[in-house]
Amino acid sequence: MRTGAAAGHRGFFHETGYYGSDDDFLALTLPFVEGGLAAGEPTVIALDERNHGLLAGALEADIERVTVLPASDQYARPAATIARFRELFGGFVADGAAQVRIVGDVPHPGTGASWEPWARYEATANLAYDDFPVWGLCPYDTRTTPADVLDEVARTHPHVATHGPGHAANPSFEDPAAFLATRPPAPPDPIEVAAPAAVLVGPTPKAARAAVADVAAGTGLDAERVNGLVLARSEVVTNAVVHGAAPVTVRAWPAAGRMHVTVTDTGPGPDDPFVGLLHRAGPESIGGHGLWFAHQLCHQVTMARHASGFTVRLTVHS
Amino acid sequence: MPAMRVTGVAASAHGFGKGDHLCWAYRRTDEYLDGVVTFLREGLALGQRGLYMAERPEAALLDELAGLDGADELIARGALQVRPLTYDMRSGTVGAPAVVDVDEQVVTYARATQTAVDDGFTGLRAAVDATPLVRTAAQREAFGRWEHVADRFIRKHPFAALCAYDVRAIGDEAIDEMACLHPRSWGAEPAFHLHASPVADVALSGDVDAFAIDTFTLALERTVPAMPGDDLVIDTRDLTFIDHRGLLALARHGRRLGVRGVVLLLAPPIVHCLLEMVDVPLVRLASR
Repeated sequence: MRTGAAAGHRGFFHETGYYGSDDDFLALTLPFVEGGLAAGEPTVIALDERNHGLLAGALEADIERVTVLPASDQYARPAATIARFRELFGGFVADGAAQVRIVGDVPHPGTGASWEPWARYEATANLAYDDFPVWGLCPYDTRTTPADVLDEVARTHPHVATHGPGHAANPSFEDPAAFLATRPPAPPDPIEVAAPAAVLVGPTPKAARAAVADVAAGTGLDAERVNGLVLARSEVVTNAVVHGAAPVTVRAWPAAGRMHVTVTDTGPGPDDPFVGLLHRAGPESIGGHGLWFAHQLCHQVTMARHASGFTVRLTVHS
Repeated sequence: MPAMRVTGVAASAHGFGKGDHLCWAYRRTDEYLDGVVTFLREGLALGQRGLYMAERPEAALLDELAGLDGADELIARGALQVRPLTYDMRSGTVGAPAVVDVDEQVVTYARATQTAVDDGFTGLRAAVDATPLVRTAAQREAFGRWEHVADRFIRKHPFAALCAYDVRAIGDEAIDEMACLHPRSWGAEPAFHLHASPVADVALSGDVDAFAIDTFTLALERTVPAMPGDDLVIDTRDLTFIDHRGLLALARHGRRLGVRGVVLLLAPPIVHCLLEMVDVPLVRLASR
């Protein structure tokens, strides 16, 4: 039996809540956590340091009964966040959990992160966890969260916690696929104003791998990062060749401890707005994995459809 | 650790030893003859008996070896032999089957190599234009299996072979199919090479990516199978790239053979990286 606001709900109950003070934050999160503990539900907190301190202080000894994940680890990259949460939820459900509660601080410019990947994450989360009985609460601080982010938060959460505390359906929620389709394309990385160190038009996959490895040699990145980037780029070029339209152009920009690669083809890009974040194809299928791999292997992956085609941008850093 | 073989693309037919195996993919007659004559000349200098086979009468084959000094004298003293491709060395008749029988082939070449040694040579060196034997998929299937068995034989015996294929006659795809079963190739750049190894069941070098996967699957099927229940050990020290498709092809191959596991020896870091992300049954790593 699921408890609380998600009682009777099937799948992922994705809720946001807003707070403007420490007291508001606790009013939102403390009953959520205490309710989970009281019901014997696995309860997970993945909060930044300050919010963690507030909640831990209020929970006192009960903090020992909570599964704690540092937000800085858990929310490093959306693809890794999804992979880790799915593994965690799967374990709890296998152990017989009727519901899992999770409250997490999703990054945004107010916390020093780019919102672009996390907007995709918040929309995709609605599908990514929907095969688990999970109640997820995403609290946003109205003092630090930019207005345009708050607008997109409202559009990506089907449920909203109200003060009281209460819970309501969120009338601003949009179909996640439709939401992603209307977002503007991701902006280019600032490094792209400089001339790339390598440009390959229609390279063989082998030549492109060699070129990326060559350019990476001067960045000081370790072999693991370079291998990841080479593999990610290989998958993205394979996708572009197989699904896109020729010619495929690969550009690479090295920097100290950082490497940025773009892959552009002249096709329309993938139809699936969740591509790369949801691993929908089985591992034995050929194709459909390229962007998922890229998201697993790179620190940042963005995709943009533009007048002359489709560009995937890959970044790794040390 | 036994000496490792050099693998990959060859710059010429020069410098091969008594136990080397070279694929010679040619587009012009002069390229073809240059490879054959150079390869035979250097084998003769190493004291090996030379054997030249192509689908032409003996007189025509002798004419093609005009670039070899003293060819008549070499023939007279048994240092050089020319045979029509369909000449059956065991029966002494012309008209061998167009689809090779791998067991027959290995017995034939083992005997010819031993005979060369018994006759006082340091081994046997063959230059063969095998184009007529790989025109159809069924022929390539049989000849591909033979190429791999030959590679295993060559690794342990004083037998060297240059296998010439006419790219114009069979096309790039078929060339890759044959070239990848040689440790070295000239005129063809298969993405990967699958060949005999002194320390493993087979060695894999080069790149296995999405575009090489069909050829890779075919090539794996043409290698000598490991026994069911055993490990299939693959030397991957010279593997420069593989993706999840390649690893999954190895898993499927292992499952088909019924082996206990597919063990990758000295696998490059990219394999570690992939195995962390994708669950690949059967495949595991060894770092001996």
